[in-house]
Amino acid sequence: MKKAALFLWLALAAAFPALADTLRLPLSQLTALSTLELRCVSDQREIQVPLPERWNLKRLVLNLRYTVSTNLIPDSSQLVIRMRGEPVAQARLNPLAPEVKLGVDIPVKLLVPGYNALVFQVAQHFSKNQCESPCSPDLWTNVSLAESYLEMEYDWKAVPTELSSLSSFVFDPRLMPAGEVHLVTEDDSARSATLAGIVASGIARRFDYRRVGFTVSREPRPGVDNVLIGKRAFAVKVLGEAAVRPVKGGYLKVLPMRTAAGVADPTRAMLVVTGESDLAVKIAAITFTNISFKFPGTDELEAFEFKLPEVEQYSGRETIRTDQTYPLSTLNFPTQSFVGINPGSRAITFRLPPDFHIRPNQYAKLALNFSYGAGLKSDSSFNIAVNGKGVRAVALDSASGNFIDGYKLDIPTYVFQSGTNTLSFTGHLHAGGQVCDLIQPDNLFLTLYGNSTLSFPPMPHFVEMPKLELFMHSGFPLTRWPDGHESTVWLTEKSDRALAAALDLVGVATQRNGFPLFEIEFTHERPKTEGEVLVVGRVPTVPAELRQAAPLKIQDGDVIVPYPVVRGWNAEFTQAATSRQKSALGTGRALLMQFQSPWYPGRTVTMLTAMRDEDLIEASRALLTSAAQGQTKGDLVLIEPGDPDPKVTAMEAGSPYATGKRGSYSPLESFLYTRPAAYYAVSAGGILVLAVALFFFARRWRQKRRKAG
Amino acid sequence: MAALPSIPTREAIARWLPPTAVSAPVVLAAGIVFYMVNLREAHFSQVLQLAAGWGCLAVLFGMYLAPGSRRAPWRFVFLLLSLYLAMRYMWWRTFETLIYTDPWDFLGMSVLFIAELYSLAVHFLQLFVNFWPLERDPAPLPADRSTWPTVDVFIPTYSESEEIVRLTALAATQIDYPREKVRVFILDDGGTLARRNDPAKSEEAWRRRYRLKEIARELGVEYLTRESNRAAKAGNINHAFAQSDGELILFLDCDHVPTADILQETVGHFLEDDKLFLVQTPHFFCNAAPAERSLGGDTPVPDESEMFYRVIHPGLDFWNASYFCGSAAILRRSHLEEIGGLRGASITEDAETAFELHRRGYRSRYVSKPMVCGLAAEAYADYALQHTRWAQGSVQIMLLHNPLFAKGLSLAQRLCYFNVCFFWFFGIARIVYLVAPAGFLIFGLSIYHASAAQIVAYSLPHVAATFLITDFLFGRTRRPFFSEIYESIQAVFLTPAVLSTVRHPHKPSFKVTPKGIGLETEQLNVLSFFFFSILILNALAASAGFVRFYAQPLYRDVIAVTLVWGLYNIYLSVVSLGALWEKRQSRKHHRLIVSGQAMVQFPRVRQRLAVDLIDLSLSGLSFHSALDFEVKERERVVVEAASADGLVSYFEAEVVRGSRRGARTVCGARFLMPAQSLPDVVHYVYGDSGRWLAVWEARSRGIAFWRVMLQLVRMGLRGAWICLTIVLRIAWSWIRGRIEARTVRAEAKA
Repeated sequence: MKKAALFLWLALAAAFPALADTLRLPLSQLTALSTLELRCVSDQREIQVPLPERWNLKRLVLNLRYTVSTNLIPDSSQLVIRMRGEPVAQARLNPLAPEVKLGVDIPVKLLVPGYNALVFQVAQHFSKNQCESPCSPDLWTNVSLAESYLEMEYDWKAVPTELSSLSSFVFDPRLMPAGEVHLVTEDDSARSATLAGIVASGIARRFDYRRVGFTVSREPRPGVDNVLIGKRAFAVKVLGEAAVRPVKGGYLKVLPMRTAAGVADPTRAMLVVTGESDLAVKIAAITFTNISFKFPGTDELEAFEFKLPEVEQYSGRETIRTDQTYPLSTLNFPTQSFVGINPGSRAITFRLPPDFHIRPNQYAKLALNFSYGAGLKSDSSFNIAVNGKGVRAVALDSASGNFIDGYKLDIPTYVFQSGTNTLSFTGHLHAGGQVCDLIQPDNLFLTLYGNSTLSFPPMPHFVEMPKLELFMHSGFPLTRWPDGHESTVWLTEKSDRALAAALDLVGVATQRNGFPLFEIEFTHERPKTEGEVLVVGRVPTVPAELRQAAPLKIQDGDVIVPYPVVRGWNAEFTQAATSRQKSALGTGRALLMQFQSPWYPGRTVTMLTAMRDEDLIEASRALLTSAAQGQTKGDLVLIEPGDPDPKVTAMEAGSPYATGKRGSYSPLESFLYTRPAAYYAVSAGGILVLAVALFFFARRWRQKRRKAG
Repeated sequence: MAALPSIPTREAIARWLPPTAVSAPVVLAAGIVFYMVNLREAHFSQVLQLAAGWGCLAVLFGMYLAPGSRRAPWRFVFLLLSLYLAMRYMWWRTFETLIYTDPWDFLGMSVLFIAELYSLAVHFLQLFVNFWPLERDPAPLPADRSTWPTVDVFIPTYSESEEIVRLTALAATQIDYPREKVRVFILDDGGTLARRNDPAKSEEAWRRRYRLKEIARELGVEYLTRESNRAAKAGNINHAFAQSDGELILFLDCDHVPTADILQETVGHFLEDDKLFLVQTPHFFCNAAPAERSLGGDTPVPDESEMFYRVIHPGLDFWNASYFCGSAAILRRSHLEEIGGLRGASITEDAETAFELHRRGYRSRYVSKPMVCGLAAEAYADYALQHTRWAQGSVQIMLLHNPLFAKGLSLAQRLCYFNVCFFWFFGIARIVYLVAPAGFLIFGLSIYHASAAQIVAYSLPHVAATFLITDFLFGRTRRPFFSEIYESIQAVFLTPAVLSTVRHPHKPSFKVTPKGIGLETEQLNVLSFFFFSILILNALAASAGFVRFYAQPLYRDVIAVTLVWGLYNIYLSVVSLGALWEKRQSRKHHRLIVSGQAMVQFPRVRQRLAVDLIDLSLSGLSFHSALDFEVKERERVVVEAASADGLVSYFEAEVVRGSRRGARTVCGARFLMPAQSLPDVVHYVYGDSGRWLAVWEARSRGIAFWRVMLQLVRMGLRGAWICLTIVLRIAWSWIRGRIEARTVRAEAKA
């Protein structure tokens, strides 16, 4: 009987291999490190392996590719791989076979939903029974992050019918390789698009940095998570009377999706965001975007009001304010110890507002509290670096150890950059004694306390635009007000694909800034109020004024194209030749452009356009990838979606203008700020004219004084 | 219901604004320049900011060297360009460098910033005042002498020697003006009834009264004294004012010997303009003030007051703000009567009187020709007393009358008077600059938040432009860096005096500056203590700076800049110490370097030769000539002296020295002066204003830049030598004390 059952199980397993999904994930996608090199006699590095809560992991194989130093002694050199502390494999580091491919089957029971530490640990030596320098350059092992990968086999768990599961289970940043959500909207109006924008922004925020793509239509789409947004009548029409009960306020409910055949699919969720009125739907949408922890435990809620906190300009994810002193513990850097001979680095990542004007005479203040052990060699040090550039090496030169309270360091602000910055600390702890002395590593420690502080001086807001890289860094300028206040998405046609592409970009901005864009408005007409604009639409539907103002001008009759001729070392001095021609953008590509608003000087228009709808959506998906985001800069970006990475060509071709905290400068200010030669010419002209005018005034006065009075 | 504010009349607007200030081009162009400065360059790259700062400076320097740049309209381009650099600096300093870090830093930063704001405000005011100094044409008197106004000459005196008073009164009697229309008054405040009745002063007061009365009788002038010394000099003059009736009054300090043409050159202006209340003329000094004596070395240095009388006052005259300086000035009695004579709320009654008459719409003029020859203070104590009185009096006017908001003055006059008063706070700023580098280098206070690149782009062009503009405006009358030294020295005694006046504006009292008192010995003035302190402080700061330079590599640029500043302060202290070394000064009559020719008869060899004058004083003269015979000591000669008015006088003299220099013989001769020839000698020596003009020109003759630098180095070395001498003296006295003590102990033991 047992045999028969086993046979049946094996037969079923062979018959339905497709029931489980497989994902091949290069290690390079799991870490920001470019290389993983293990140095010295002892070293270890860690990679966090995400496991989504809704995955039922069946199998996990680590395919490792590494290179060892040919000077190592295999008998005493070893690589150990640990998953969440448990050794899962060990291998000799053999210099005779320095290029190694290793397959490690990792027991899935070791992994838990969330992040799992995969540790590579080495013990390596280049001399046997002889003295050796513990950090000799001969001692290295390099793991290739690009060629090593994890193979994950999994199937999907049923979605719990709890609203609180949305924040951790459905829209889960650990979901790989990307999230995909379908939005079901009531109609193609601007009102529905605005509501979809709020919901998409909330979803993108849940996914954190994990890319998420949106699709939009009037009907649910099986096989992915869906969100229905619209008034109750629409929800009833789509889902049936039973699914949505009569309500007074906004209403949220989570249901299992149905397949195309109408069968329930518990592995996918259908979220209903509805209400009797537009306002109620909006309250529901905002409430949804803010459910950030496991409450409520029910599958539905009725929302009547949502009070938002006071939003300040330039606040956002990991953004440092200039009027505050931050203990490092609040910057996700609790008290940490650096232990051993090669304790590695720890870093704090934070962001400065993208339009900070960094002045050369200002200093960020870092006050460190740290202690270190006794018996360190006098050349031991504690290095501090900003964005990879060393700013101070603190000597750890007290033989009896020390506790230092308030070690003050003024770091020039010019070593920082607007956007993301990294402040890293590296311990270089050396043991005393001669080479052949027995090394006692237990005293080699340095503890940096979380009550150390970092503060920035007040800095003005000024930036010369256009700079698409700022959009990719933080969604600037749409996110100058973090909730999208004063920002509008202008859809030049009523198209679900154009809307989906716009939602993808709204999602990027939200993820970069970390704040849902509650206040962003969608429109199909020219925005009536002053503000920043994101324009999405096919080329023929884009108004002529916008096409004329863009750096690449696709006009009705002809096209004016800037072709880079000379690109200096500094991209600011790129010279472009402009060609007037009769041609077209073509298919399979899209343009992302940024330029000054033709109606509101100092305000910015960011425009995604292509010849076809599908190109728009392909381009917006391409822009979700880090490869495309990293290459997006300047004011004119040509995107050619491709696999695995899209092809991105960026350049500066348009006219510069200035913007700052006020949002805009007058046209004259903007002109002068971005054209120094004109500024100095006007100043010199003013002085000359004033001198001449004063001369005539003074001459008259002088004559009068010389005569009688 | 509250009354509506009245609409200002056209006249009121005209008084407030210069006539053409409303004209569109000036306002528009000024608006553009201001707008551009206000926009600031902070958003440009540092390279551009650097290029802009130094580019402007290069243009300024080019213009400075160009021959026609001092003439309008290029003059205005120069001034505006330097103003632009200063404003650019100030805007940058205000909006980019004021950063709060901690309370002590903030305190230091605020003090330094206020000092800088003050300096910039004074700089702007100086540019305004010296916008276009006015050179006046002569105002000739009509041929009909009967229409000439009557003139009273007031010579107030208090404690000066009778000989000085005699000389001035004698010269006053020689003024070229109808005798019947001039009355000369010696106004003796040293022989008042109150002083004669004061047992402690009685003898001296009586003696002085008799002596001065005798001089008055001898010279045919009038002697006046009063019952008390109330209201000091102003009271003395007002007393005489009530007892005289001349239409015009010529005021002469008792050491200010007038030239013969003083009334010819000035009275005509009163006939041209009925609303004219004052014609001021320069004060010319025949001796050097202590600082000039110490600093000048072999080269004649322009007198400290020359900058004021040769440049600033013509500048004030352009704006109708030339004011009464107490002497060498003619005032109209009728206008003075309107305000009851000289005003006496402050101790600078002269400026206060002019201020009051300007407020009433009366006008003033300035004739830039020296027509009195006076005595500068000989010792630092007297120099300090004199400058303290000016500073306190000006601060009193500022506090009691607030020129900026005084009714009746034009906007330009307000600024000019404000400049005159506000200037005297320079001592506070100067001390801040001397101490500031130590704040950062020793105490680590961040008081100037700027990177080295910014300092190079903004601060250095501004500082260099300030030196250029100073030399551009005042170069003829003030050598480079001399203002720094004068101000540093004066800062020591003026700062407490000014602060005390601010605290008690009515407290300062009039003190007469002693004149004609020589120095018997060379000595280091007590003010040097301050500069020793500054020297030590900056030396410590420099040492700390060198340590920091190696210890704090992130700050190296800022440390280097501050270090240079500290070293400059050390240099300034050392040079100031050199200047505070008071030279011996015992000459009875001051010798003036002059040019021109005279005829000299040598009776022994029966020759009459033309000689070139070298110097001249009341007691003798020096000359050189190509003589074909040997001059003997004590040899009698006769000098034929032709005055400017053509009058030839013959003075007997004896040769006191004679030596050959190449083909020429240089002789010094002493006048053998019988009493009756004194008027002729006085007329010859002091009667010719052209002579003083020539001396001015000779002093202001430009010297090569390298010579100026050499002179500055010499001044530094001299100061350093003095410091070294003093340190050695102290060390020697300590060693000697130790030796003596040891000897005493040994003797006691024995």
